[in-house]
Amino acid sequence: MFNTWFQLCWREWKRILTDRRIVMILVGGPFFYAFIFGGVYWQGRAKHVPIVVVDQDHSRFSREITTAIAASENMQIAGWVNSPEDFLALARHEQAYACVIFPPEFERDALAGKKPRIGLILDADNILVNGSTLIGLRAIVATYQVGVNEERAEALGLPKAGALAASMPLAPATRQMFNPTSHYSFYILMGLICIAVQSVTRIGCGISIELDSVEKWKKDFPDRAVSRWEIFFSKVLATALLVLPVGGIALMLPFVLFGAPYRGSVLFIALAFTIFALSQICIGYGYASLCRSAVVCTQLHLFMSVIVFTASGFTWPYYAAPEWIRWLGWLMPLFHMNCIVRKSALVGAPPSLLLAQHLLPLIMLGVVAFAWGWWAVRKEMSENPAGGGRD
Amino acid sequence: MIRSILNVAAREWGWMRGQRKYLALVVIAPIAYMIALGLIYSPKKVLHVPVMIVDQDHSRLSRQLTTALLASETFALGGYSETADDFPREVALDRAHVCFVFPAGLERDLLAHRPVRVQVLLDYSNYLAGTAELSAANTVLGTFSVGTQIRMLEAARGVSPDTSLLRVIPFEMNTRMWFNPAFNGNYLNYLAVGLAYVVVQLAGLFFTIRAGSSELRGQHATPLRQTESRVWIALAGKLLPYFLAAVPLSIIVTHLAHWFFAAPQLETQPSFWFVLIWFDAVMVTLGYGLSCVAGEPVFATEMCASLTMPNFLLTGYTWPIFAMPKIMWIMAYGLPMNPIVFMTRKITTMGGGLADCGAQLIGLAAWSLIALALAWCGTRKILSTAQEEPAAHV
Repeated sequence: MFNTWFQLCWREWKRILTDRRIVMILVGGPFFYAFIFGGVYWQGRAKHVPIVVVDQDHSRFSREITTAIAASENMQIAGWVNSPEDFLALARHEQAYACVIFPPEFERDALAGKKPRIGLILDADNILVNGSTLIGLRAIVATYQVGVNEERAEALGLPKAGALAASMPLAPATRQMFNPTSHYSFYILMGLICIAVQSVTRIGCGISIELDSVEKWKKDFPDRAVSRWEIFFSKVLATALLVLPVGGIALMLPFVLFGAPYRGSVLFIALAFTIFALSQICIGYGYASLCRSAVVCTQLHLFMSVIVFTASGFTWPYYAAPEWIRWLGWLMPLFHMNCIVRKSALVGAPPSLLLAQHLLPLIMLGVVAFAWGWWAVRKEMSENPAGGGRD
Repeated sequence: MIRSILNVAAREWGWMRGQRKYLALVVIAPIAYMIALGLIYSPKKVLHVPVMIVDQDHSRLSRQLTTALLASETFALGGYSETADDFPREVALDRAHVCFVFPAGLERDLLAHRPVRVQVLLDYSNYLAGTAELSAANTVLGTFSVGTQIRMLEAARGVSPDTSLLRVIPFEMNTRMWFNPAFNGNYLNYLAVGLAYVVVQLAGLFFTIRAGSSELRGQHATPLRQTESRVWIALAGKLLPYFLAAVPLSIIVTHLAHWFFAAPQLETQPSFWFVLIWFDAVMVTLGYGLSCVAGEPVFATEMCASLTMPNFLLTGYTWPIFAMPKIMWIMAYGLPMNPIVFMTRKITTMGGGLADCGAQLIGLAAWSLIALALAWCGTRKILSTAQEEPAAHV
């Protein structure tokens, strides 16, 4: 019995590992994408955003604020320009992303209580860059506002503690939980690797089933009749034994190599990933059977990958998405896998909390995927008896 | 000469029309992609994030703060709790992603002129949502803080509201958003332009991904050399129908978000049309070149996948290139999508022109040469194969 299954799986492995088209995508794909994505987000935060300063005041106060900006990790002073008009050309050439303007008489007006204004022009094209720049600059300005108020209150005769209370009576004490350093890679990398594993598994399985046929099975096993169940199971099993270690290692890379924190249960994620990978193999066969061409199937998955990732709610939060998108996401194994990985690894949610919410739906979707895969393999084996591809 | 090119183009057009399934995918998928993308980002901002309120003060002030927070469109009430310890569990169950803790004695301390702190716990496991939550929380609490300070000054010093406002805010920051005035976390405006090029690129490549291999595999009724044997005429004729199909598709795809989802786009300029059409030409040529090099369409499609799948993240469109490790800069600047997304951004969003796109023009020119070299070699290979084995094509 074991020997028979080994022979069936061995045949599938041989096919996969000797075909450059399948092995490249199925085995090489997850590592390729994991290293690329890991490399892109290695730094984790958009630090040292270049900004320019227009200092029309040349006062001690404007120089102090400029020094504070230069000392901030978020920004770096790319230079000083004479007027805000000069910023336009610098923005178009990606040499500066923000411009801080100190108007003439800024210090004098501030001391006279005339409420002068610091100008800030942002190249608002990139939300990620400018979000952090804006937050950084607001924090610096707010600190100075509080400082000025505190000095005034002290001058009026209030003690130091009372002066601070008077200058900032109600302050938020913000705590960024689960990702305290706002590291972009911790947040996004695991999701990107899950979508990469999904795409390469589906593409690889689509090509693999397209190139196989009943005739080839008969030729490989002339002495015994191999049932379609055996074909299906051996295909899924053999592919899973390749995808699971490769995808599993790729999924571990954010934690092992790229420094993402891991607070959850390894066994739970391993179980979820096994169900996820098995579902993707079956779905890969399903799509191949619908497309009836490995080229069309591969192209379809490539067109779909960005949309599927976006709809899965990993970047654009699903709880802030329209109701129908949440339902759509719920029907995707990727959504549940991403939620399990993120909530387990970053939030530290115990398996008992995720079982009913994400693991059971993942298992249910896996059963549907399994049925679809079985239907697809049966159909492909009947309708493509010679194999070898229809392209 | 033109007649020869048109002959080859007519032959290719005939073959192309027979590939309806492939054409349907390449034409329909990008349009469906853009519509889906627009619908997903249709809220434009992160809205209605469920909030957990831990009110340990039960005072008029804490209730006012709760009302103010829930009046913000970013937040929606997720529930109340006695302690913040429940927050991680609520996050795991998606019942709350922000938690405000009003400590006991909040109102009393404030009235006694003691500094008070409202704790804000943010779920930063989603960076985008966390940033939006942080900004909204700071806005609401900051406004409250200023209001309180004004009242305190008015009460303590007997100054007029205008004077107390000047004292509370000694100077302020006036922010102006250039190029995307509706900034404020509007993701549709920001992402749609760049993401459109993911499919424009894929469509351009996939249009021709079978054009070279089909010749090498003898899938055409007549070999190419019977029509024309000069390389550049054959090349121009083969690419012409695909190029003519790719250009209108890319125009539709790049404008869909603007037409249907009100994404801003400055009035289009000749320089935009120039770079868009140039990019289409490069992609169509590159797809054909890869098809010839690979010799069969599945492998050629995989080569395209390795070129296009990490492309968008590497372009620097979302994650800035200066924040990537230096070693990744080579890939970021070297991939073909970098020039087109930055040129489009500069022209259609920043109101710039080709003069502002020096580095990008060089990048696209380099890819043009690579694509042309591949396509040229591929066509030579096809013509020589056809001359050696004419029988295979019958």
